[in-house]
Amino acid sequence: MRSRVALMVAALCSVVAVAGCASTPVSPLPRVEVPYSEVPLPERATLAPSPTAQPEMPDCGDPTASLRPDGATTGPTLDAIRARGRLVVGLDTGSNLMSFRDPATGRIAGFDVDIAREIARDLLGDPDLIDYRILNSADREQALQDSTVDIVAKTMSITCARRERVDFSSTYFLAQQRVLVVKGSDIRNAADLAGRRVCIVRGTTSLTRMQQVQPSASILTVPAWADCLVVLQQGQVEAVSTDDTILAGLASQDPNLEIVGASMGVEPYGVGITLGNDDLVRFVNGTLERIRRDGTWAELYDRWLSVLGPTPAPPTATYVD
Amino acid sequence: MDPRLHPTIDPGPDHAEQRAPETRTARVFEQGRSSGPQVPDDLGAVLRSTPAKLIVLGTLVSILVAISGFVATQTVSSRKATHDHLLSTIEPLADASQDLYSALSVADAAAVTGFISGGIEPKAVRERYEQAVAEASAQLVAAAIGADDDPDSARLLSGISGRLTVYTGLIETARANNRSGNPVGSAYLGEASNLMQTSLLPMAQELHMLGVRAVMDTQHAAVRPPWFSIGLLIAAVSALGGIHLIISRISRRALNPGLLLSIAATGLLLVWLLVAGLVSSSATQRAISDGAEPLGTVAAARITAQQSRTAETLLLARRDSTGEYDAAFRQSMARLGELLQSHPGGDAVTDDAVARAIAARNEWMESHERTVAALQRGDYTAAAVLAVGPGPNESAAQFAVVDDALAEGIEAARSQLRSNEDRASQLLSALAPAAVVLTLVSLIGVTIGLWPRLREYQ
Repeated sequence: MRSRVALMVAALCSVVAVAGCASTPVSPLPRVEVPYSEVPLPERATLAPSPTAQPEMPDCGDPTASLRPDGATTGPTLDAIRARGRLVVGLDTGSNLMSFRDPATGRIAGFDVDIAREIARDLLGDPDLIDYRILNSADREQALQDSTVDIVAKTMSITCARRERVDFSSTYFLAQQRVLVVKGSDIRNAADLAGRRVCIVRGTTSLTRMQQVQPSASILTVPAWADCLVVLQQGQVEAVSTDDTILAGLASQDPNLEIVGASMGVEPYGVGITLGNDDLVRFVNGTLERIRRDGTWAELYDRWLSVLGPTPAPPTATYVD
Repeated sequence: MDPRLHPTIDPGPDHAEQRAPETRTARVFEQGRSSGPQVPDDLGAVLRSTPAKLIVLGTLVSILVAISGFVATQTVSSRKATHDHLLSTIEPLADASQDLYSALSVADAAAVTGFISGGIEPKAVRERYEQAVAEASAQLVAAAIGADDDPDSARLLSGISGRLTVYTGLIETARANNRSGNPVGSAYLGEASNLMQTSLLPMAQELHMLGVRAVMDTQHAAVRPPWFSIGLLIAAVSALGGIHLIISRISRRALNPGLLLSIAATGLLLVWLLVAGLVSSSATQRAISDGAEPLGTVAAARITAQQSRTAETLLLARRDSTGEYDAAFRQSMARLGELLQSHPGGDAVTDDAVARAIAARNEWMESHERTVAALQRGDYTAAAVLAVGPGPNESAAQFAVVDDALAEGIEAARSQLRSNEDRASQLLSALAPAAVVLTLVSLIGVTIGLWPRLREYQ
């Protein structure tokens, strides 16, 4: 018994000794630190904070009711623009079909751009007398309040909340908010977005609506809609949700994408104008009346938005006096 | 030490060895009890004997000579190694990191400029982009040579290297989309440029700052003359002189050839170290004042000029209306002005380059004001021509003058730094082996000088 114990102790000792040998420090092989490589995000891309209680929507009656055109061609704002010789238009270059930079020419083009050009044509006699200022969606109202632009023609939905800070022309387009996904995705409508990551531009009505319709979607906000296409192509989000006008423009650049789901809501687009510049509001409404009547509106729809379906009738304007 | 004492007290080594050990022990005990000076112990007696004194003194002096020689060798070789390390590793990293920053900045400016014009980018602009990317890759390899013993630099370099491939991939995605007529190309360009401006360039700048700091630190470690080593050698020469004095008194001969050889050898080492050490230090001082210091300022100015140019290009490329890029441009240009004014003065070529950069910076500011004025009256096309067009008095040309002048100033300051560092190193190259030889000669001299005196007592 005793000898067996001694043997075991000896065995244990030898094991410990061998283990000791094995663990003697061997000079480590030189290792190269391999940094984790990840695809970058666009500038200023951030996750939206989870929606808090929605602020009380101010009620202004019909927000689309705008000042009736009176045919006047002069006024303090109109004269100032004519004195400058150029109409300063705020828009962005990342909303394909509505306003984007044409890669072939370097020029800014699109449905919204042509609306602005019609206004310049009536006001200054030449649709080219426009100076474009690039605005992120979130900066649109501030630019009008600071008067750094005369008008904003950039898929801007008319809402009562915005009407407290800026003025609007009559409605020149009615868009529907939908969802853009990669073909074959199991996301078929807004309800499927629960817990999925969606890209939306900050400062838009699309963001507010998504947070109402599907509060459990995880939302990545970026400065421009083209950035949403980038993150969708880079696999950093599973869907993009906004107006069909913009989604069609994104889908047209990548045949692997499709627009799904029913309309989540109607977005009436208006031309944003600085509050108090009533002469300019009436003048712009006059131009919009003209293009509705003389077929220019239908022509512009055909040129840019035929992917959305057959040309509808232009939205009718509602006026206050 | 007094030689007159030795006939009475010192019985000689033979007598001392004949003493019985028990007596010695008893005496020690006795001494321990009484501690009276009237009974000197044997060890003290031995030490007071002249041959023992000579042995002890000789040993002490030899140790001092050996230590001072060893310290001199170590000081000189470590100092030479410091200069050589600076020349072979640290300075090339700092220089490569500066060129790396410049190449990355040029690549992004070219990529963005290519998109301002619309359509297929101009051939010259595309070639500038490709050349700059190739240059950046080459500088990454050059900088890596200097980063092997610095984990921070290695981390930055692998970070830059990894992201540079992502950057070039995004630029090509942007181009492919552009060529297919997809406006999303601009968004890819924006993402790439953002990666460059917020990640790659800051890392390259950090790398450059680490490199500049390492150069400065290394130089300041080698700029002080080797006072400690010089002091030790002075002590050794004095000790050798002292022992020579003692020996000449004992032997009643004025000169001791062995000790004189020893004094000459250690003295030569002292003079050599003093001269070479002081001249090498002053060369290092020049390398700092005419090289590293102006180089630091001029390199920082070049980086700032490139940041200003980036802000100006992006102002046009993004048709920025918030004033963000204009403010960034003005801030960066103000810093450029401060840096150029703070140029401490170096050699004539650097000073001249800085003067030209200051003049071109002022022209550039005026051209920028014309660009801003064009933007304010809504004339984007005119503004783009002013900012990126080929006008000889406009921004692009004036930036090129600033950049070229500063690159020239960097080259001049760098050659001041390297030639003075090289001189500082060369001055020390023969000294380290010479210190070993001279110390050995000195030790042999001590032995030769003392040996006959010790033999006289046998």
